[in-house]
Order: sequence, then structure tokens, then C-alpha cells
Amino acid sequence: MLPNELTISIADLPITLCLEWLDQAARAKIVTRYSDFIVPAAPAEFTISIRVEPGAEFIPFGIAPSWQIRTSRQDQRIDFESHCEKGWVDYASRRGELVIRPRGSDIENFLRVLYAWLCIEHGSLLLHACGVIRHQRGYVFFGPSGNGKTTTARLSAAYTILSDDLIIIKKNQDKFIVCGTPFRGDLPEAPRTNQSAELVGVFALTKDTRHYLAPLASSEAVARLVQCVPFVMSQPQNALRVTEICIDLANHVPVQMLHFQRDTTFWEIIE
Amino acid sequence: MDWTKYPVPHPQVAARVVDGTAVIVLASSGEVVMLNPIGSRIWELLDGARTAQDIVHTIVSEYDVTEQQARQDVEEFLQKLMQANALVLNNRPTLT
Repeated sequence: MLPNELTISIADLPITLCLEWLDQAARAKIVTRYSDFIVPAAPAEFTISIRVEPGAEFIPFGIAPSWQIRTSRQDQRIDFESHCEKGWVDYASRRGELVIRPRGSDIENFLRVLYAWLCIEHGSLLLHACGVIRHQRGYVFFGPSGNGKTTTARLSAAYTILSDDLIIIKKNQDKFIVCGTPFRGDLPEAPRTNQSAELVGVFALTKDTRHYLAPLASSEAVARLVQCVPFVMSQPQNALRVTEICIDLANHVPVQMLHFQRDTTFWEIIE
Repeated sequence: MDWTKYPVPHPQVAARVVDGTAVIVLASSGEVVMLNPIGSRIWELLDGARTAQDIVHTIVSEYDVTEQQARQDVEEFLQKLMQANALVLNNRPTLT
């Protein structure tokens, strides 16, 4: 018998999921998917009730090339909607609800959005990036889709991959820490690694015919980082907060442009 | 261009000047814009207390440029920012 409640913690931000409305198969999928991030029941940032609603209407699948996720904030409430799920969270009560299709178990898009907002609240960043721990040191490779995050993860298989798509960067006193998430990109074999390490290098990815590092001016580093923060930037106050966090990050950790080709020797120019 | 108006950043814009370069995030579109040095200086002057004409005068005093050239450049710059929904023109100064 699988539990009615589950607490997961990503980057030390726990969320409790109430699964009592889900059947055993759906619960099992969620437990399996987030197994590395399940923690003992504890006070959570949010408690989310997951509910199945036959006939619920979501964003219709259309001809749009990308998966659509809509979020909006009104006062204390954030609303979320996608093709297979919709939900909300309330900052005042710290509760929320997620409605999914019958026989559905996919809660990941909702979690991605929720963690993006939670990170802002805590002065952290959910960033579109590949994260790698090599020799106990954390590295982040960021860029928009197609710039090589999944390739970088694939070429770093000898080390600990935190994610090939979304990582969390948080500040701990005067150090920045890169944390793994259960959020995968295009690399099906990517692990869901619940580890973290001090961040020692941040690299904007550019595919090229040879490996080399190029310096980035602080302003350009900030501009590039800001563009890789998903889900929260439509709110001006979030955009400002994200910009300030990125400025702080760029002031503490080297941010460089990594030109790379498809082989593992790019690590030689990084260390 | 009404030079007596007070240009200010659009409420949907987030911006910070980093090492002399203004990084502007247009929240409505998610677009991020970096301004050149003189554009960044003009951005700093959009404090709601200065008219567009005041900004022209400041640019003339700080750069080696004629008032006519400065007026032309400032107008072009402000128009571009307005088209990008990064700027609005107020009729009155903003009290700070």
C-alpha cells in the first residue's frame, strides 16, 4: 500500500504531495519518479493536493510547436495550466491543488513551475542548465534549447550529472551551490540526482568546431543567465529579483562562454 | 516627440545597470536587451524627474555632441524603447 502523503525535497525545499485521490498505479509512478528526493514527513513549503477530475478542461493540444505552460499570479495565488494538468498555489495558506486527467500521473510541469517560484522566494534560481559534479566541484552549463545542455550531460557521463535540463543554484552564506533536480531534458538515461556541490564555474554553451573559453562581460553574463530562467519572468518583480540574483552570481562565480565540440576533452580546458 | 514629457521605464520592465551596461528585461515578452554605453546613460536618466529635453541637455553636457545630434539620437532611442514597451512618457514628474 502506497502512502497517502509524500514529501519531496529539492534543494532543501520540501513540498508535501497529498495522493489520496490517486490510484495505486499513479502513486507508484510518482514514488518511483521522485524516489531520490523523497524525505520523511516534515513541515513543507507547500502542501499540494493532487486530484483526478474526469472531464476537466486543460489547454488543448494545438499546432503550437512547443508544450504550453501558462502561469499567472494574482495577489497571493499562482495559477498554472498545461495540456494535461492545471492547478494553483496560495501563498497565504501555503496550500495548493493540482488537477490531472484520469489515469494521469504527470505532475512534473506543475512541480517545475512551483519550484521556479519557490526559488525566487528563497533567493535561488531554477535555471535551464546542465549541472555536473566533478571531483566534488559543481559546474553549470547553461543555454537555450539546442545549445548543448543534453550533449554536455552525455559527454560528462563519467561524472555526477545533476540534470541535463534544470538545476537549482542557491546561495549559502557567501558560496553558491548547484543542486540536482528530478527534472530531466532530452537525455532519457539522465539520472535524477539528489546531490549538490559548491559551484566553481558557470558556462554559456555554444557549439563550435573546437574547444575554447571566452570571457563574458558581467552584463552579458547576466543577460544570458536571465534568459535561461523559466516560468517566472512574466512578473516584473520576479524579473528584477532574478536579475539581482544573476548579478550576485556573476560577481562570485566566473561565468564564461564555452565553445565546444562533441567530445569529452572540453573538460581539459575547464580545469 | 513632446520634449516636455517625462520618460520613465514601463512598469512591465525590470532593469539593472551592470558595469555601466543597462540590462533590461521586458517581462511581457521575456526579451532581454542590453544597451550600449550612451543608451545605458540615457536609461539611468529616466528617473521621472527629468523631461526628454532635460535628458538631451545632460547628454550634450557629458558627451562631445551637438544639441541637434543629441536631440536626434535621444528621440530615436526613446522611440525604440517605446515601441518595445520598455518606456512610457508621463505628463508630470514622478515624485521620489
